[in-house]
Amino acid sequence: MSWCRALLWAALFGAFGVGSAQAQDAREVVPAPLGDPSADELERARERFGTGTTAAEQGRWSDALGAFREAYELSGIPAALYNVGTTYRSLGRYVDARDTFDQLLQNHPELPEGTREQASELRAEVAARIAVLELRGLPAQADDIDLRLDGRSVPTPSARPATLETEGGSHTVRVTRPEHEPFVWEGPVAEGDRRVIQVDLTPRPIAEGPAPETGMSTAGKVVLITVLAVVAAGAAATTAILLTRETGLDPQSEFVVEL
Amino acid sequence: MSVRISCFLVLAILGLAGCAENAILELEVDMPASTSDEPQYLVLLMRSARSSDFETDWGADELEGFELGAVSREETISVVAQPEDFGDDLLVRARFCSSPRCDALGDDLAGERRLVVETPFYSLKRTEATWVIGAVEDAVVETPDVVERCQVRGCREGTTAMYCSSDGPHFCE
Repeated sequence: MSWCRALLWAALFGAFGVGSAQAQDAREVVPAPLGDPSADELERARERFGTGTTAAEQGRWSDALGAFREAYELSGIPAALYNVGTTYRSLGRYVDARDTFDQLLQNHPELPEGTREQASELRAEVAARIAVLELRGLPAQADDIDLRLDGRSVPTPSARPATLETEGGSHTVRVTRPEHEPFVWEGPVAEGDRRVIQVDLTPRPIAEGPAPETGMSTAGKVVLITVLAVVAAGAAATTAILLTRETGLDPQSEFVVEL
Repeated sequence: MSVRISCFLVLAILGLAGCAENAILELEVDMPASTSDEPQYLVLLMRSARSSDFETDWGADELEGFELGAVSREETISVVAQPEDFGDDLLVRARFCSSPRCDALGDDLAGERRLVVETPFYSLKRTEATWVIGAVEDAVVETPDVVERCQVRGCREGTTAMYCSSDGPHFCE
């Protein structure tokens, strides 16, 4: 890293608020290796970890994410999983970040206490940022319901009211059911907020045939708008990056040796 | 042209302002109790492996020796490194002398323990390591103790955590 590296990267990613809906139960975000890694796998993991670190230092979070994930899949070393969590956090993917920290905390009892506390704090921070869409009016038996968030199919929760976790920003919820008119909701939800959506599934008249599928075009528009918004936010934030000076570290001890 | 000059000036100012880019190892030394009725001092000398080895004479350091008492004690020494030492090992000599500067008669034959701390320095990072010296030595113990890089603690700050540099030397953390 260069000598003046104190770029304020946080501003660059603060505006990223769109993500996928995730199951609410703890899940394995990154699969761990089944057995002990071989020396070759460890070496590859080390290389990927280094690649991820470099990418993170340069603010290339997507690259960092892939590298850290691969490092963990190869090695199962908690440092890599920790960095997956921090990278998701930097990407604004708070649901994934929270689930990653859950995986770390649950599956790695060997974590040093300080690291565990740090991960717990980060977990609480990202969990507080998760936005929730509460869907009311869904039928209790919903095996035939197709639920999509921002164009992507998500499992229909069994609980009622059903909830979808996501990130703050504009979202589209589309609910379809055979013999019913599709329900589409578009709107914003603030980071950490809960938005109630009343789902209205109107039975289609029997005489009518299946309605033409028109929702995809709407979803496509939303995706396009989202992408444009993200690009615009990134560009705006980039212009706001500030250069600050790093000062050297100060010794903590009264006994100091200068090499 | 004026734009070029402006850019040059900005770069020049930034360059002149510079950035202090050091690294610090907080080395905790567990010192043994004295074994003599006469005053005994533990004198610590430190060098970067980049410029020294245990075969050469290191001269003296500014740091005065620690007087050993009836019971063991712990002291932490802040070892400050500059960029040219990043990535190199730290070499430490602990000499058991009869004077704080290890310059009294007979101190040239003082007993000695040695330590190698593997790659403890990373730009603008504070790391920690511990060295336990169990007993006062009467002779030079040539085989150094080693604090392996994975035993160097720290490096948990930054955009990601639990790393010290991009080549992953602290992957083991």
